[in-house]
Parts: sequence; structure tokens; C-alpha cells
Amino acid sequence: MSSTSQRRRRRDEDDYIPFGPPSLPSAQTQMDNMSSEGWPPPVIMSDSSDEDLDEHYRTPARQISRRSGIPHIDALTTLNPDRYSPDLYSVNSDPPSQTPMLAEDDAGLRSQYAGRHSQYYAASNPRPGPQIKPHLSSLDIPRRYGSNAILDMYALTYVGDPDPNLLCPICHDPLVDPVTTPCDHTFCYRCLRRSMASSPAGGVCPIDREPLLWTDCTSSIRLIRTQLNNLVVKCPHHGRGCEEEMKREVVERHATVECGFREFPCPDSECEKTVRYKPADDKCQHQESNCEFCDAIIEEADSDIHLLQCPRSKTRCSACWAMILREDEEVHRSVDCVSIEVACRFQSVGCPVRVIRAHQELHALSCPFHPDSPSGAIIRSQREIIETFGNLGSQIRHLRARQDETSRRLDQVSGPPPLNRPGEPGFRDVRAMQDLDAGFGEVHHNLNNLERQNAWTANQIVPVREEVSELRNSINMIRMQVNWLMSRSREEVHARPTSSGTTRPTSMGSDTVQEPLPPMVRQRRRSTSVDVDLPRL
Amino acid sequence: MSTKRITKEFAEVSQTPPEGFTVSLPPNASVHTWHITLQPPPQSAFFPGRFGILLTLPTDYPFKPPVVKFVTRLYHPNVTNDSLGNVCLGILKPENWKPSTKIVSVLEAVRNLLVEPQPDDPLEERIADEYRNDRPTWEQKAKAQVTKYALEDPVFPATAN
Repeated sequence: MSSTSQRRRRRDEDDYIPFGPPSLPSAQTQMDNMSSEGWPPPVIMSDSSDEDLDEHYRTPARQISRRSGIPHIDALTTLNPDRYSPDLYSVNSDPPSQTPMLAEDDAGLRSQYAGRHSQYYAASNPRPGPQIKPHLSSLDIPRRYGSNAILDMYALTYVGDPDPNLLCPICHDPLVDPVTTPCDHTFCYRCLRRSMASSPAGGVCPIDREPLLWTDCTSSIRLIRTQLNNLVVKCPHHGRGCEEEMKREVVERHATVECGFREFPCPDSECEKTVRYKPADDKCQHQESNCEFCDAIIEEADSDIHLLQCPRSKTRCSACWAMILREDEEVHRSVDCVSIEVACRFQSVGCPVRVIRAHQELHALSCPFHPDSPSGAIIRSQREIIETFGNLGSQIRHLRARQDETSRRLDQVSGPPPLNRPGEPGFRDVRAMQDLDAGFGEVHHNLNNLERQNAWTANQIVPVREEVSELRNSINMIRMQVNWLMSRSREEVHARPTSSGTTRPTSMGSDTVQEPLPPMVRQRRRSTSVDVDLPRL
Repeated sequence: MSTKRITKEFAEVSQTPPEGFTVSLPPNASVHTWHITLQPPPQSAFFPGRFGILLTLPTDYPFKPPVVKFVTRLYHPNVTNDSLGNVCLGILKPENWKPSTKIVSVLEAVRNLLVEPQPDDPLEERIADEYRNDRPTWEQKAKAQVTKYALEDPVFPATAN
């Protein structure tokens, strides 16, 4: 049908955990959202659907609530037909999300507990008691703090005789927000709380006096709630003349919105506004006055509504049943309240136990997950092993990554060489290689040229040599001729002056011999020095 | 809430009263005070008498037990033998009281007490001893007091509230 009913269905499935943990986080979060939703006061006798009246209704209280960002009651009681299906006031919308809670948890641990168990471990926030959020009138807020604006579900008048099995043993009326104790007795939410609060023995079952903790009680099963919601009641304004009869699940809607008897005209004839209750006197109920607790300025007729939102007004802690300042509620629930159910301190290492805060330390001492207990030591060592394992895994991943990187680099280094290998290993540069090749070719060419020149030169030399040999021969010829001529001339000289020739070896130093000789000596020396010199020495 | 339950219980008790009881509300008083007249069954030593019982319901009834007092004097181990007429009844003790207990059950317990006194948990030790050790004497004295005080319609004190 609508998304709301789908959500509700889903929640019901969640609720059903046959062997599940004792706490049902999904529903439990609803309880916790109770306060954050600003206590939608269910019965506000004003008409939110009438646009014309809206201007008249712009009362200071509404202005205040708008200013302070608190959703106005009209917005909270906006008609949503689906709201009035079987669970009515017992059902509020689903929690906005569970993710903030999940985020608080040990992510690693949670990943090991998939599905249902993740819910289980998500339930770390405080839990005030039975999972289903009760009707506001169940919280027994005194009139002084605005309960007049709440429809008292416990004061309804039933048509006919309800099934006696559906009656609360305490108030003897049909159950409202039924709560079942661990000893399997069922009471109204408010009756059981009142009984536990007033019992001298503390929390005991009003029937068999079994000791019980509020957090151990649970909302009764849907079958009972549906039966109860189908009971027919009279309109709460039947005293004013309304003759409507309806199922209990829709009475709130009727009394708040539909009933024509829900308002009176203001007793002041000059005032056009209406009041929800017949005032004691004839004074106008729409004069502004200061709130009893805070600085807000409100009309008297709206003071009840304001008191249900006023931060300085009081509300009841659904866990410890104490009246607390509304502005302190969050702190109370998260820190102070000893009756609220919280998870074991060792939840992060797996303890599923939930105890009231007052017993948290007591449980911690005997908790099998306590690190100092034998089982805790085992658990701790196992967790250490798991942690080491995880570390090793990440180390392996790291090393693999490094190995990949290294091998990639190796490939980079050894990849290009096939191109260079034929050439000189030392020369990587192809261009230098080409230059060298070119230089080599040039040198080779030059060498060829030189060889050719050399051969040519050699060819040129051969005739020169021959000429030289001829010249040498000629010279030898000439020398021989000269020698012959010389010897001849010498012989001639000898032949004419024979004495001179014979005296010479005997008388060496005679000047007379030397003087006519010099030209001849010079001639001799020029031709054969040996021949000439030897006789001199 | 308590008023609602009390009204309901009164309607039940006055419509179908337990045997021997008649219940009425004092005129001009709240439903928290009941005037009850009890005629014990024949097997009781108190038989022909009619005893006035003043039942006072605390404001936080049913979380606190109702207070039962005899306005008619009777010679009984568990009822003070004076003008107060306090009754010792196990289920009405604060430590034993259960909010689920109905007034009908209280009335039946009172009737049973007249049929069968509980000398082991007495308010009047002397009468209890006599009941235990000398039953005929006790019966004689009880009947004497019945004829002395309990044959006429009980007179309830004017309610304070």
C-alpha cells in the first residue's frame, strides 16, 4: 500500500527472531527516537486541515515552536490514514536510519557477522524497555506538565463487555500498550510501571510477585494488540454529546480531528477562538501570558500544548520512570539513567549481553568477554591472531604490489635492448652509430684514393729511375773516360819529365816540385780521392 | 484510573455480591469508602450476627492495599477486640499485596477468616491461645459477643470525608 505499511511489515519481520538476541534493535531504536520526535502529542484538539482558521490559530505558541525549530504539533498530528492501522499509537515511523549506530561499531567485527547479527551488534545504544513506543498517555505525565493535551487512552469508555481475557489485571480495563513480563503476565504499560514504582519490593510482578526488571518486559504480541485495537469505544467527547462509536485504533484521530464536539467557543463572547476544555470561568482563554517554566509567551488555551514541548517542562524517562527536564532528556538517557538498558562494555569483542546501566559494571566483572578472564584471554588471543592474520594479509598485498612494481621496472630496463644488440653494446645511440658509419666510409674512400695516387706515383717514378740509371751509367762512362784520359795525361806527364817523377817519392818536401803541381792535384782530388789521397798519406 | 477501577469493582460487587455480603456506599462520600455488612455462614461461630466492615481504599489503590476494619466488635484472634476493629489479613499486608487482587477476593478472605480464624498469626494473643487450647470457651465467648453486639444492623461511623 503505502511505504509506511511496507516499512511496518519489514519491521515485523525483523522483530521475529526465533533464536535471536534478547534485544530487537530495529524496534528498539523506535523507542529511542521517542524523544527526538518531540513527543508528538496525539490529541490536540485543533484543526490542522482548515486553512481559513489557520490564521486565527497562529498563536504565540505556534510562533514559538516555529522559531525554535520544533515541529509544531499540528504537523505532527497531520492526518496520515495509514497511521491508524492496527498499531495506531503504538507504531511510530521507522527510525530515520540505523547507520549512525552502525558506524559506531567495530567495522571489522561487524563484517564477520552478516545479516541478522549485524543488527544484533548494532544495538549498542541505550534501550529503555519494551520495544514498541507507548502512547504518550502511558507515560503518566502529570497535568502540571501538560498531560491535559494528551488523549488518555486509559480513560476510554468501551461499548459492550470486552473479552475478560483482554483486561488488565490491575486496572480491570482492556489493556493499553500491553506489556508482557518474563513470567508471562500481561499488563497495561502504565499500570505495570505504576505498580513497579509503588511496590515496596521494587520491581515485582503484580500477580506472582516474581522479581522483574523493566527491561526484561516486552511489548505483547501483535495478536493481542490487534484484538485490543479492534475493541469499540465511545468518543471521548461523548459527555459533550458526541454519539460516535468507533474502533479503538481510530479514536484518537476522531477525537483530535474529526469530532465536532472537540472544541467549545471561547467563553468570551468577543473572542472568536475556541477552547478545548470548558473553562471554569467566563474569562477569555486567549490572553497571552508567560510560560510557567520558560520565557515563552503563550495563550492560556495553548499552555498544555506548549508544556509538552517546553524545554523547561518535565517529561518522564521511559526507562527509570523519573520526571526529568525535557532539555536534559538526552543527557539523562545517554549518561545518567541507571535503568536504561545498555550493551556490555565488551560488546566490541563480541559480548551480546545487554544490561541496565546500573548492572553494567557488575556484568563486566563476570563477563566471559572480559579480557582478564580465561575465556576473555582466549578470545583476546584469537582476536590477536585474527589481527595478525589481517596484518599479514595486508603485508602480502603490499609486497605483491611492490613485486609488481619491481617486475614492471625490470621489464622497462630489459625491454628496449634487442634494437641495440647488433651494434656496439656501448653505443646506444643510433645516431652516433650512423655518424661513425659515415666516417668509416669516408676514411675508406680516402684510403682508396690514396692507394690509387700511390700507384700512379709509382708508375711515374719508373721512367725517372730508368733515366737515373742511364744517367748513372753515363756518368760511369764519363768517369771511365775521364780516368782513362787522366791516366793518359799522367802518362804523358811522366813521359816528359821522368826525373821529376822519380824524385818525388824520394824528396818529398821540395818546393820546386809542388809549385807546378797544384792544378793537377786538384784535378785528382776531384776524380778519385782515394787514389789521390793514398799517396799523400 | 483508580476511581475507574473502584467504580467498576463496586458495580460488580453490588450486582453480584459474594455470599453473605451486602455492600453500599456511604451517602455523600467518595467511592473510596465502602460500607459492607457481612453475615457469616452457619458453620461459623459468629453465625447469626451481622458485622459491619468499613473498607477504605487508598488513593493509589490498587497499588496499595485497601484497609479493612470491623465496626462491629467480635471475639476473634485476628481482629482487635476493641472499637478499632483492625483486621490482620495476609493478603492485605503491604509486602503481600498484589495490585491484581480484587476487592471480592478481600471480602472472601474476610469471610473465611470468620469461618476459620488463623491463631498462628494473631492480633489478639489471648484470644488466639484460647482458640487453640480451649475451643468451647472461645466459641461461647464469641457467641456471647455476637448476641451482645452483632444482632442489630451495624452502625457505621460518620465518614470523615
